[in-house]
Amino acid sequence: MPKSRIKVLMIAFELPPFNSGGLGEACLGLTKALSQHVDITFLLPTKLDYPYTHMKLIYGDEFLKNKRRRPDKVFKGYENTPYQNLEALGIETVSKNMVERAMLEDFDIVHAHDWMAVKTAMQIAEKKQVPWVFQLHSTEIDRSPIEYLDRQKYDLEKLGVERASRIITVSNYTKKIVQQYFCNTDNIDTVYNDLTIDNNNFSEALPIDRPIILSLGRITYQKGLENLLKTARIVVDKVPEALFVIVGDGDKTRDLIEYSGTLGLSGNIVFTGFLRGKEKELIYNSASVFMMPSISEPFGLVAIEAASKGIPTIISKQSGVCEVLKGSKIVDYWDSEKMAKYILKILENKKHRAKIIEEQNKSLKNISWENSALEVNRIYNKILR
Amino acid sequence: MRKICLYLHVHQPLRLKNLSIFDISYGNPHTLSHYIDEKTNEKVFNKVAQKSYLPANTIFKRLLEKNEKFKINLSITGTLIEQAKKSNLNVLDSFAKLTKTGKAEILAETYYHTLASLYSQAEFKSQVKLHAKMIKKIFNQTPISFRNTELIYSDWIAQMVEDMGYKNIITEGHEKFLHWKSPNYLYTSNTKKGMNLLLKNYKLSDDIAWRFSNKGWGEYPLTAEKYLHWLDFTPGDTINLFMDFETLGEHQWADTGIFNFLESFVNLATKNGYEFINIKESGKKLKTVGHMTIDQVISWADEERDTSAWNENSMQKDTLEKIYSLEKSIKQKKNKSLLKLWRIMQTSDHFYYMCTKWFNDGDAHKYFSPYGTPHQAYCNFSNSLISLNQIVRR
Repeated sequence: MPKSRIKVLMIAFELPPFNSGGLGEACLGLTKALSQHVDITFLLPTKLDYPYTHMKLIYGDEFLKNKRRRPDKVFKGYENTPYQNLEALGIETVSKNMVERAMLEDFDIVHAHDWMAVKTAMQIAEKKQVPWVFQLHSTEIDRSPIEYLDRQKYDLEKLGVERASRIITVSNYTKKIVQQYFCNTDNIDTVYNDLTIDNNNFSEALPIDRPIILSLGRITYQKGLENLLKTARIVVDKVPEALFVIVGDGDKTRDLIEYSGTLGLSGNIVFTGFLRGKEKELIYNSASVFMMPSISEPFGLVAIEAASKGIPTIISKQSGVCEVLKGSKIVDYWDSEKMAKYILKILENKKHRAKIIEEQNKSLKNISWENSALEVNRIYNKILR
Repeated sequence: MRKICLYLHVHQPLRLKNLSIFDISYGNPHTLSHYIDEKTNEKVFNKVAQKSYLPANTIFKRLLEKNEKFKINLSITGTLIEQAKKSNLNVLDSFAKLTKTGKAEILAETYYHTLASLYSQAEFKSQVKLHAKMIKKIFNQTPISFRNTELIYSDWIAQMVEDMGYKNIITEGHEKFLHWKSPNYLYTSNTKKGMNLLLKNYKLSDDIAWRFSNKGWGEYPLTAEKYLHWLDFTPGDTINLFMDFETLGEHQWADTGIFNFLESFVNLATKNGYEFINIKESGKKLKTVGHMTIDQVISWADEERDTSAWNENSMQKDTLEKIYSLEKSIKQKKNKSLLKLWRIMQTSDHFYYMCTKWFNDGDAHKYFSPYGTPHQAYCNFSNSLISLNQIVRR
């Protein structure tokens, strides 16, 4: 075991508040806890105004002349995110800049998050002759139907799995996917995510006297929301006042809205688009049930978030979070009938509802970033011993 | 003497507000202003009034007073009258001046410009009665001719209309259902008594309504002389020119020369042996050539000439079914403003905004829609339904 604190170069492509999904949130939560044990230098592609002091932040475009830093063309939806460079300059250029920047730093180990960081991490690790850890928060197998896999992303993930000194997955569910679809290896540790809960005392709810069934997240193939609408149809037939609220946006939004028409859900469904801040809190405070029917979800932080708001959750068996969130009703993502049954029971039976919340609360106590950080630190030490 | 039947449809919908889930049951849901986008409605209305209603009516008044052989037929929806009362009384006055000449006939229709004929017979009749009552009050006319929303027509719809006492009715005249028959004659509807049925000559109507200012059109520019020449070479007893009133000045802007064209065409036509007629005189002035059977549901819209612009896709079917399924519970409430809101939500335009037929082409559908996408229109309508339900459930 090294005598001084381990120096880690962590590489990811997003951090809040400029993030598009759970990856940034997970990186932030992990580094906050991990910085108690190791020194972290966090490498991002683009310099943006991040408000963090628990680690050193460095950027691929930090020392570049303005002309090379700013891409000419920023793709819609990627404005002011680290991805504006990735999409416009191409991953090769961005990665090259990041490698150059990293060479100016001193570290013992590299820790890379998701496919975008694979090439960068490999080059840095090779040049510096240090080991590297590859952490998978999601895989292409989760994100797309098998016949529509994005080969570039899949190949990078496979490369990472094969070449990294050690692999971290966010659940045993994802570990199995990696073993089945990428490389049958035991060189994998599972480290669960947790949620950084901001304890606000905001308790205002919507003045709607109807049971709200909530789902929240990007509207993509992976999220399995078509099955949620099928469930909605069954529930609404039994409880006509049930109101399904779909928070989020994504490439499947239009299809989903048309499907809502097919199932005759107008008047029982609300598509809110992407929400944050007070509006998101209002919706959480008004929800009777939270649904995460993902077709494949490596972890599913949003279920932890919902549980921490005291909402009974129904989550798909094809998720990582069901390994840790006890009390939650677990169901196969395709089983709309069962989802409906669970929703109806929660709506009808107060005792049942209270029991779920109680169990969820109990298991929330056992999930913490502190435990995850200790685990990651142990992995570093094992590699560097 | 050959006849021309000029019929113009005057309508603006009461557009709905963009209600989000955070607006539902906020404020006082009993006030209509919570649901209706009064700001946009007023803005659009005033724009169309300045560009179309007022300048066109100045010309029509002059023509009706000075040209003995000129007559005009209009349909004016309740939702338009309400906006005129609120935003610009001059508009109402300009139409009243036309009817005072005794040569402008106002047709009956559904007050809220709805598809009720397809979904609820009782509601359809109520809305037609409501409209007739308003026309009597404002223009002192009792309509005896009928036009259904978007000229939606079928034998069974005609029967409903005839049962209400109407003598004349108009619809689209496309070869899709006329086959070898010409739209340029008077027909008798396939109903028990038989109403006088006039059919739109869509080619000559669309030359003005859609092609007039199109510089890519081989016949551009269209002059009164050229157009009259076409009429001369069109066989039949009557040329029925049916179009939206807003064609004049709004779809075809003033700088295209549409107003001058119109005035010179009318004067040139009457000088050359044409007589403009009111629809109510069609039985007297024209001889019917026989019965017209139309067993499918037709309309004057789009290439299809059916109702697919309003009720084809899943979003439209869903919302239409929902709004009409509320009929019983709404009527039981006996609450005037609730009933009105329900009827405003039936206005066909809301469903037209959800049309996905040529969503990507940036065509007429998109031009008229206050929403970015048909899907937004659906989501907003769903939110309005939820809000409406909050009152119904109370």
